[in-house]
Amino acid sequence: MIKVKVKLLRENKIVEVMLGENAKVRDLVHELGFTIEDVIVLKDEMPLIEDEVLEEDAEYVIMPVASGG
Amino acid sequence: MTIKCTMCGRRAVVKLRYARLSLCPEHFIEFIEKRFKKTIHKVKALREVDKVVVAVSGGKDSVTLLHLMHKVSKELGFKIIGLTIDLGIGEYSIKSVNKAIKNYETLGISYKIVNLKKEYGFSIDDIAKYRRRAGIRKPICSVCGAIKRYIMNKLALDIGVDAVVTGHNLDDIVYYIFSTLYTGRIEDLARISIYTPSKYKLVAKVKPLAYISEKETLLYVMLRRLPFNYDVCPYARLRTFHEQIRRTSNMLEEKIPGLKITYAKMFLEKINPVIYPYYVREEELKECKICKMPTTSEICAFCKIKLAMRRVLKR
Repeated sequence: MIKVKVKLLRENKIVEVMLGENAKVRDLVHELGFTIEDVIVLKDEMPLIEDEVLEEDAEYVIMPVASGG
Repeated sequence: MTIKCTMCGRRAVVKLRYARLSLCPEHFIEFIEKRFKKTIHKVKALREVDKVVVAVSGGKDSVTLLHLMHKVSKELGFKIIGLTIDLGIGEYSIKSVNKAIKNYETLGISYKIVNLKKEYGFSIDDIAKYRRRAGIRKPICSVCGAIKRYIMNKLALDIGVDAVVTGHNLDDIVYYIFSTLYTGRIEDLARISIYTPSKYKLVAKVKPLAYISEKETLLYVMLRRLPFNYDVCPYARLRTFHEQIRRTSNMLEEKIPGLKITYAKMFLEKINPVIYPYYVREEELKECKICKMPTTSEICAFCKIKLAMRRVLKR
């Protein structure tokens, strides 16, 4: 298992998520109850592709796409 | 493992599964600009315009629209005027208007800010608070939409432009398709279009972001580091049906990449032109007795809201 820190931008909340070895961005998105179309995942302010493998102890930001404007 | 840009081999930051592309920031921006231009070129009428109004709320979609329109206007040789409506939704409106102004000034675009409260005596917050007492039965988002459409059209008529350009994106179009199919409003479905020609005091409308998703507009403003308001309108949480449709269409898109754009293209380009003549009745428009703007009844929807709110706010 790996542990990653995730900042949920809309909720302004940081959570820790446990995922399997070699988990990908897609797995993190699904674990949080989103689809890959719903959010952008950022690391160091840059968007990540859903196929990228997550890094242990790294910090990710989840940015929901819908604005409802 | 780093995924590489299909075009140049640099690190990719966006995967467009429907197009089978992984792209770096530069190539993603180029992809969006090309797609936008392609849509614009589909609207023959835009090749002949002199001046258009671009409606900018300050959110990701309209900021993307403004920057893309600015580029295209240089190439096609027409002038753009920005329009931002200060709806009076607390902090949300203050932030939105400020972001819109920042973008206008960066690009050197002339603009007009219409303050709903100052100009017409009521804000969206007033409507949210007193709607029931005023006898307004429609949901707040529908009322807000009607107000925005009225002001956009009025300003466009006043300054004499050829079209109003709005930031409706692919997800908005897909939502309209799903919701009109669900409710059986075939006439409304048939009316969904990238370009709506002008008709008696109704200025032509263009939706050139129709094939660009809201995930793509968010990526575009972020990768170009454009100022935009990321906050959600406080009244948007009331739109539960809208939210369910959005979630469902995104779930389908994840299973079937390209479903949203295929749906939109099928309806806008193939199905709607066929069903339009059968289902759309051209309603006769006349002048509103109060404001002289176009309406199908004696008094237009906007004046009805204005009168109702005036009665309540006077008390």
